[in-house]
Amino acid sequence: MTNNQTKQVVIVGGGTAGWLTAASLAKRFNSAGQGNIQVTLVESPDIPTIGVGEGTWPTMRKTLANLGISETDFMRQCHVSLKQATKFVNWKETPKPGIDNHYYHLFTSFHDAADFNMAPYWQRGEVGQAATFAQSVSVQGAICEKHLAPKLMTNKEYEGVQNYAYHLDAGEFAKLLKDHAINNLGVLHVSANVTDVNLDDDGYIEAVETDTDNAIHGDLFVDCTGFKCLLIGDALGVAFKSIDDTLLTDYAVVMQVPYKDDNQAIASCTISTAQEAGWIWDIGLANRRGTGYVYSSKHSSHERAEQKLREYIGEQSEGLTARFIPMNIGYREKFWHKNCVAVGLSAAFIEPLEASAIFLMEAANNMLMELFPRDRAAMVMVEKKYNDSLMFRWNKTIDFIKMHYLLSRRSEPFWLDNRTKTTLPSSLTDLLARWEHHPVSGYDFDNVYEPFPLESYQYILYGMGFEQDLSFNPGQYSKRDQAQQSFKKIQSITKQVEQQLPTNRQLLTKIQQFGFQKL
Amino acid sequence: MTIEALSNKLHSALKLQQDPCLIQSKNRHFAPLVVGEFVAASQDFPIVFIKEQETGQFKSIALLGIEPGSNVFYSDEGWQGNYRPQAYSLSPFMVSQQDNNTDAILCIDNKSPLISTEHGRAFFDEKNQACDWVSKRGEQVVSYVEQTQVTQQFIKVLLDFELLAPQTLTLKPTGKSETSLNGLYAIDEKKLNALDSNKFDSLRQSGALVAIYASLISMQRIEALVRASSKA
Repeated sequence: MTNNQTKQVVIVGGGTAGWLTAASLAKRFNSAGQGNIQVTLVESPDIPTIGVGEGTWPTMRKTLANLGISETDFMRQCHVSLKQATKFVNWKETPKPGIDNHYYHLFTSFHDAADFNMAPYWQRGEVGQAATFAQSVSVQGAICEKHLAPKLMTNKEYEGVQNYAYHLDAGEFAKLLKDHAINNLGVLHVSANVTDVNLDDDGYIEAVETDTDNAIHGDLFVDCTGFKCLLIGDALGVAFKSIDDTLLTDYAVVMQVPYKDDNQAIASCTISTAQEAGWIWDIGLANRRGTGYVYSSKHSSHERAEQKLREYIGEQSEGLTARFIPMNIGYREKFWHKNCVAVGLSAAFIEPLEASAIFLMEAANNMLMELFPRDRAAMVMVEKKYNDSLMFRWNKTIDFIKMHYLLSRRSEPFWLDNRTKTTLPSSLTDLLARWEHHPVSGYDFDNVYEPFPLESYQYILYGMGFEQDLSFNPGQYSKRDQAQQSFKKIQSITKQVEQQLPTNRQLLTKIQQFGFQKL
Repeated sequence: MTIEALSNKLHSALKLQQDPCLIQSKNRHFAPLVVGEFVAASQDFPIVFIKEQETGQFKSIALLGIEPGSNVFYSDEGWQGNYRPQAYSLSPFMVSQQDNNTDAILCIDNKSPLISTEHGRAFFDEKNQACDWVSKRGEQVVSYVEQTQVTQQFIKVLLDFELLAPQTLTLKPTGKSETSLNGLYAIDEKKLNALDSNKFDSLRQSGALVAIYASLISMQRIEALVRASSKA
């Protein structure tokens, strides 16, 4: 079938990656219509999904809206709560009693830093001397501190007063996508175990054999089999590259924590609390919290990790069972090989510190849809483009996560090891060296597909207390008045929105009863 | 507001005054409307839709003014419109119903300025029975509550058929600065005309069509509202 056009897409593996990819492709290609590209998803009835990826980026709003899913339905089914930041606690230094040690990585800044960059004025002490960087440039940190929601009931679906993303139940999310993909978008579903992968003479995948059906033939295959990596790994032999020399965590112990009662606040940000050998995530869904300690098994025993997680949760952890998940941190040397594309855990996995997992699936899908190759000849070109672009994004994500560790002044062995030279990518240390004497600039990020914007770097750098000396060329900071006016305005808007917004819990309760309007 | 179930024990001495000004509408720039009022109301007011602050649910309203707190139809000399929106004219009566199985209980707002022991018509007669006019008003309130549910159904159809569109009114009353009214939604005539015959027919059969056209025609009242605001 070398000369044939790409008409059949076969996705192996359900879960978030599989169903998100299936739904996205089928929607974009109008697969429900006669004669269009057909999308088939083969899913094992026996293999459970990993199901701990519970945080998204704001991009998910556009993704879901494009898929034609109602935000109300999504929020109700997937126990969604709204997320507007990550709060980093005890990352700066080992906690000392009485010393506040947290900062926010927010989704909304008052000014687009490309239009007016307030950071140098804050850094030089010209605005917000008593305020943190986040408080000086955004109202959103104050909103998070009070557990307020980023939107009102009168906002329509996917629209907010502040920028926001989601906390979601990954198992329910995969189910929602599956129902939508099958019932509304024309995805064909095969429930079966893949037993073998047939390659043709050129080493392309021809079909997958299953235990219930005939072989399933396809022109393009998407590997969403998670850590198993059946297609691109086992069948096509693309090697896995570990990055355990850069990011040192290799295990997670997770626990689902019920709320004490119907009045307990639901955080409107992800809370990440640094520990002696890693960090704990705390994600408040509408119906429960999801928590997990990501740690390095070289620096902590599993027993001690579980104990630390229980200490963090407190008495509510009594009677809860802990689940241990080994994490193989790294990526496939290629994400696209011949006629096979890996999306999700089969492509790469890094610790979920910045909730990049689902975002990178969306990014992969967007690129796959946009560059979808006509035939095998076209695949060769696309393969390179796709691999280069996604490799760039994964590397930038790794660097960005590493930056959190590098800037910490914590003193435990895990943290000291994280700052040893051999673990530091030069792509990161070069940037930091520049920023010691220069403000962060848009030109530091010249790729349109930078996963993290300039503002994200600023939130982490200044939140962590990065030492920056901006005494060079002081003449360029001539907009002090504007900076001070903006600062004042932000403080007064903060008071206004605090009055206006409901708590996250209030909003989530109302959604159950009323839902958002579509307009 | 103090809401009490109307009773001959508590309220036998009370009287209700006439309400020529629609006292409840003072300083309100809109009146909630039920769908049965659309035709009559369309002669006086623009009929639009807004979202309830707390729930985000749509409700239909008559615009009485173009800025919050201003009602150009209110005057101490008497209501300046022909039509009197029931949301205010039924005051101080209301009903309370615990759930669908129990009878509705007629209540009054005890703090209403229309209620006193001196002026107006007595609620109860010399035998301490509710007067006929009270029973009539009670029926009106019950019917209004039923109409509220019909109105919700009507709005649901508008949303299902995607016939509502956001509308920002930028208005310039003479001698005043320009104001914008946000958060208003109106029926989109183009979308109405583009409906397929089945849907359009279902609007006709359910009796929604006349309300839809009343709302569309009522938009002509905006200019009159702006003119009245200029004088004020």
